Amino acid sequence: MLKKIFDKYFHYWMVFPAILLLAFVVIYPTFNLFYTSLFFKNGQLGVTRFVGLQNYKKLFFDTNFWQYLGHTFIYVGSAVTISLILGLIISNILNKAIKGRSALRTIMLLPWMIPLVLTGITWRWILQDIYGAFNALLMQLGIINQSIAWLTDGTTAMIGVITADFWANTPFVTIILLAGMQSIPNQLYEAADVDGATGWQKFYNITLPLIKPSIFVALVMRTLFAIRALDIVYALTGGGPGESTEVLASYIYNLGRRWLRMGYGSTIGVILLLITIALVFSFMFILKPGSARE
Amino acid sequence: MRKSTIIMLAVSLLVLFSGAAVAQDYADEITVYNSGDLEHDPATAYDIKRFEKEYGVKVNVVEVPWQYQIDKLTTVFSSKSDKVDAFVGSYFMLNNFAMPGWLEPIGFTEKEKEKFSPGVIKASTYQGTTYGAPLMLKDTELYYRKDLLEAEGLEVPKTWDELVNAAKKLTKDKDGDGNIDQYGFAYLGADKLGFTFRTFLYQSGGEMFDENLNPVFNSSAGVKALTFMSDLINKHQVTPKGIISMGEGNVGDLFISGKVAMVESVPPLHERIMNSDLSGKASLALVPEGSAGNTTYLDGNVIYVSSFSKKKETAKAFAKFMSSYESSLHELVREGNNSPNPSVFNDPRVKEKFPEKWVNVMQESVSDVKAEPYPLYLQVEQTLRQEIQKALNGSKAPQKALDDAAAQIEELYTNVLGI
Repeated sequence: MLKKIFDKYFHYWMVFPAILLLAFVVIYPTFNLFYTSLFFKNGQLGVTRFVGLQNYKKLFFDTNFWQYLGHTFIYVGSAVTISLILGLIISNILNKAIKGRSALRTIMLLPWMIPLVLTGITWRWILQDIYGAFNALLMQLGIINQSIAWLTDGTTAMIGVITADFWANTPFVTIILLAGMQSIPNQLYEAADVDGATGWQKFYNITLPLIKPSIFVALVMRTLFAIRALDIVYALTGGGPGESTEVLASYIYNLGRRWLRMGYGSTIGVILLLITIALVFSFMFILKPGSARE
Repeated sequence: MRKSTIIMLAVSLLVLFSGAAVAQDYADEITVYNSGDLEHDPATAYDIKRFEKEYGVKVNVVEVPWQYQIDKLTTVFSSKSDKVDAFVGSYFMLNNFAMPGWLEPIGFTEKEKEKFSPGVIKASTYQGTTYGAPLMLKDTELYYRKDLLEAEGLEVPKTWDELVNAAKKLTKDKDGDGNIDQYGFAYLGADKLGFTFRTFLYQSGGEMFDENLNPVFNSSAGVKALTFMSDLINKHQVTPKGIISMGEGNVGDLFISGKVAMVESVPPLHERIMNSDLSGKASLALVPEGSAGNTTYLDGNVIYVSSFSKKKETAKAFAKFMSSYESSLHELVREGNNSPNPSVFNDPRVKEKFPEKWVNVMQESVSDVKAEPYPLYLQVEQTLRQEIQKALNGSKAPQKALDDAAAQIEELYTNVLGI
């Protein structure tokens, strides 16, 4: 009898350990996040008090939240877009039978191998106004004749953070797109050659549509990495100068981990989660990744 | 058995058991979180070895980078873990850790407290109880290039105005490429920007809070202090623009490499100077006075004991040992960290290591330091630093920046503390 049940539901038993792990690392923390957001919970004061939706109401009047939300959209939008464009270009080059392709692929991966905190620290040195390599390079090329304090101005500091981010994460996008490109049958390109298609026409009409699923995966993963980016911001600018590079992820970190205002921090965490889910669904709607091969 | 034998036996047993009782007071080992790695903390490493030898207690050191010390300890203590017995923290951590009951009183007697500078004990005391055993002190001093000042015929500046005048003469474009190669002056930025502001604030006669915890740093004294900091960068252009993102290490680098002629910084820059090409060319002096004197902000390290530790007595013994005269002396002569115990400066070993003038400056400087512990330090510091940065990069006027900081802090205290 037991054996019959086991055999009948064998496939469920096989995925049960994975489901258990998923429940432990995803479902429970998510539930806890929503639950904690309904409390005034301050670890410093040792106070926990049910407040219902008051934290969400407070959010509407929190000017920091709206400001950092704006920064998050600028940061994510710019970093992801640039990564995607560069990723397409680089993967297209690496997909061709060029000399030294293997070596180029390995070199291309190097920025991704460096821990993001180290990336942030390194770029902080690069962008430093007196010793920074970037100012030195620009002055050597005659583009500027005076050092620029990149991390002193809000706009240039944000550009610096975005640059460090796409420098570190473009290799990841490239790998995914390259894998997609390599699954495209060569005969399609050969047929296009016969029809006299140009390189751009082949790319636009063959490559792009057929790598849509890969673009979707790259876009979603890249957006997820960027939206929760704390390491680079923390290490490079600390959210400054002023608050010009503070993003929601750093705000949540400060609230929850440093200041122990866990209730309110969880509230913002819930909002960020909902924004992330909304973005993923909108990518699905726009890209329709399942339609690529139809 | 002869009477004398019995007496000797009794005395031996008494000594044996009392020795055993003393030994039983201390655990076999404790865990201490150190701020930074011991390789760059030779005095602490040396004194830990001395403690281990004298007390027979093994000290397991966990090295945590300074910037992450608070986060790491907050995680440990908020879970009420006993894995930390003691830790090396900063004076400003007191309120954040004492308020939720995470710290154990050190148990200094009044006599033991007397050996420290009054400002130091005040900064280690929360609601009348002393929780910190002072390890070392980081007051602010003026480090300057003797040779460069002499070349320009300048005296060491003693007031803010003299500082500006000297800095202007020392700011130079040496190779005529339109780029300043040598700045006249720099102060600590980045995570120490709030400390720098407080130093200038105190020198202007200002305070951070009144007795009811209302922010008062946006007074005329505060505006004067912040305007001074901003003018050095934007009006007089004697301080690099990038200073707002440069911390203690970076500013030290600027001075050692000759990019800045004078800096207001903290020990152990003395040590770096003595071990560099600047030895003999650089010196130190008291910071230039503002309208209300030359008090500087008190920073530095303290040993705290965890209230969750199961080895409190041993941890307290460790804390007191590390704040003893000998340990303070080692901090000074091995690392160049100033002592919270002023009598250490009279020690012949200090006079052997440092020029007499330096010792006099250090001794006088540590006697005029100030810190104001207040609740929710980290959030207040972040708010203050953000607004100061906006004033320094020109995006807000100093008064507006300080008013905004004060308003945010008031709201914070109302929302979180209900005051």
